This record gives sequence, C-alpha cells and structure tokens, in this order.
Amino acid sequence: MKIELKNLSFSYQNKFIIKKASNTFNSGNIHFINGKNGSGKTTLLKLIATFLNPDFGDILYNDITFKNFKKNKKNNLSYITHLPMLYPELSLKENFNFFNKIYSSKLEKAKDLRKNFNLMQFNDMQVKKFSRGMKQKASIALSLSFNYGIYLFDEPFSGLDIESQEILNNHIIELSKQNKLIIMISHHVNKIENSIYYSLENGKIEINN
Amino acid sequence: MGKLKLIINLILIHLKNSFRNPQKLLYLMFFSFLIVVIFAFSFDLSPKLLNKVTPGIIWSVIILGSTNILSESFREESDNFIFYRFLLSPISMTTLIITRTLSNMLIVTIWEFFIIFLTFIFLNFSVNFNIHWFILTILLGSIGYVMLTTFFSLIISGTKNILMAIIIYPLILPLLMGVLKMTTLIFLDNINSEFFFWLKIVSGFNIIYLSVIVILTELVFESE
Repeated sequence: MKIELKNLSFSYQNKFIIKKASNTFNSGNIHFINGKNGSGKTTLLKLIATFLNPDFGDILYNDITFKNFKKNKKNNLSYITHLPMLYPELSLKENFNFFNKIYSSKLEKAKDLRKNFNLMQFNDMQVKKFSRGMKQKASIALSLSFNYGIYLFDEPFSGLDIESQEILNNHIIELSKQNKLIIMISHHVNKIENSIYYSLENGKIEINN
Repeated sequence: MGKLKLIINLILIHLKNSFRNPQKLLYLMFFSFLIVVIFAFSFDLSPKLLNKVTPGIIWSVIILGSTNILSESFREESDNFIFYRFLLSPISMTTLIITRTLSNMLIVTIWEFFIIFLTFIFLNFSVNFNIHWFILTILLGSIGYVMLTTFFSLIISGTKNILMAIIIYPLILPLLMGVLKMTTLIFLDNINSEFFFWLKIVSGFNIIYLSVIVILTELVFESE
C-alpha cells in the first residue's frame, strides 16, 4: 500500500493551509507528522481520509486517484482520533455490534480489543456514562477492530492514561508488522523502529529523520 | 451484510437511541396535549364548525410540534463526530437519509395517532368518517414533511433549529394545503372528485420531494 501526495494544496478562507505538498507514504512504516498548532496536520489527515477535497493537486492511493478512491474507499481506511465517535445512549457492546455489522468486520476481533483495553466490564454501560478517557479508549478499540490497509491516527494518545498509551503503542507496532500503512499526528513521539518523522511547516511536508 | 439487514439495523439503532432519551418524546406528548387543551377550552364550537376547524388543529400541532424534533435528527451524529464513521463505511448518505426518514416516520406516526385521539376526546369529536382515507391522508401528509425535514436536518446539522422552520415551512405549503383540504373533506364525509384532485397533488409533491432529495444527496455528499 502506498499513498502519494502530488502538489497537494488546500485553502481555507483564502489562506493556503497545505501548499503544493508532495510526499510518498509506504506501508510497513509508521509515519509521524509533527508541526506547530495550526500548521495543518489535522487538515492533511482529513484530506487523506477524503473528508475534505483538495483545491489543487492529487492524492494517489496505490495509483488510484483521489476522486476514484473517494468513490470506492469504503472498507479500506480507518480514521482514529481522540474524539468519541460513539452513540452516547447506546451501551459499549451495542456500539461495537452496530459498527462492526455495518463495516462487516469480525465481532471476535472487537471483543479481543475490548479485553485488551480493559473495557469488558463496561460492556453494558451506556457510553454517555463513560469518562472522556474511557470514551476515547472505546473509540480507538472500535476503530482498530476494522481490518483495513490504511490507519490514520490523529492525536490518539492525548487524554489516555499511561497503561492505555502502552496498549495502543503495541497495537500500532503490530499493525506496522502486518504491513499496514500508518500515518500519525502526535506530540507523543515514540521511538519505534521503522518510524519516519516529518514536519509540516508553511503548508509543506518535509522528512525530519 | 445484506442491504435490507443494513437498513433494518440503521432504523433500529435510531429508534433505540430515541426511546432511550425520552425527553424529545415527552416534549411531543406535552406539546400536543397543551395545544389541544387550549383549543378545547377556548372555543365552544358547533359540530358543523368543528368538522372544519379540527383538521387545522391536527395539522398545526403535527407541523409545529415535530419541526423541533425532526430538525435534530442527526444531532447525535453531529455532536459526537459519528459522521466520520459513516463517511468511511459502505453506507451511502442516501441510505442514511432514507433510513432516518423511515424511523422518524414511525415515531411521528405513533405520535400523530396520539394527537388525533386527544383531539377527538377533548373536542368531543364524534363524526362518522372513512377511516381508511383518513389514515392514508395522515401518512401522505407526514411522509413528505418528514422526508424534507430529515434531509435538511442533515444539511444544517449543528446550526440553530430556527433555520429549519424558515427553510421548511415555505416548501411544505402546497403539501399542507392539500392534506388540510383532504382531511376537511373526510370529516365532512364528502369523498368527491375534489378529494381525489388533492390526493393527486399531495402524491405528486411526495414524489417530487423524494426525487429532489435523492438527487441533492448525490450532488452534495456523494460527488467529489
């Protein structure tokens, strides 16, 4: 799996957030993107996730253009953030069952991940009763339960306790061993083998290694 | 996962979510109860006049009461960033709108029969009328209105509810005129050519609303 940014530009309110950015992200590596607050890291991830459309340039997913990938992207890309992305009125188990059904992913894997993140005892509790950290853990566990080729992480560690950070870190290493394409925005930079570090400044992306 | 199973799942999850948070449903019950009681105690209508006024009361309560609720159809998804999950899932936005319309329709229909029951009790309404045509009129009036409101609730999710009334009320005016006329004719036990004329108009508007929504959803959400 490979993602190529080709002269990618995106503007918001007449200001270029991403300006002619070009780079190739290959699977098997963990790509860490750093940058100051407001430098456009989340915007870049949202562009790759196809939530936003580029103004100019293109993003190629295994040589498939942005336009075509957006049409057929379903079931190949996971977007993992610190945001809850769960129905608050439903229990944890109901949320997992519902999303795993619509994504056609295996319930067994979802159960293992709930065990891994120590969430099994909260299976029947409504998500609205969870603390912020627990919601985040549950959301990450759910996103990891889908078997995808591309994993986009946007500040996944912020708000997690040390134990959960460690669990997540191990999962990310495991995904990289499975040759998945991982792009991550995080101020919590771990020295992981096969990591490539980038900085995003003035809308351009540069390797930092 | 089969398309039908997926649709059933989407409807069930919304119903589960709605019934677990009964505030909105209680609002609907109290709102309709209050309006019907106000009308019942304000007027002392003759049976003939009652036949003409009751359709207006019923449809006013339906439209005014449900606007608030329907405009929040996607509030949960918007507030909790669940749209990100749907955007990456195999579910198209058209499927999401159609399933949400169906679950909203179910909630609104149950509530409508509660309003009708209240109206008949408090206004002492005891006229023989064709129940089949009446049910059809209520369903035809509701589906178009619910469909439009659900669609716009996705478009304006995250903004103020007042915007919904400004957008929706002018659009539903022809539909509302039609169902009001049809309901009046049913209560007057006068199913004539005029009734069937309005039936065609209302059915036509429902088809137009559905087509426009499907086309707009494709244009707004599915295209690049």
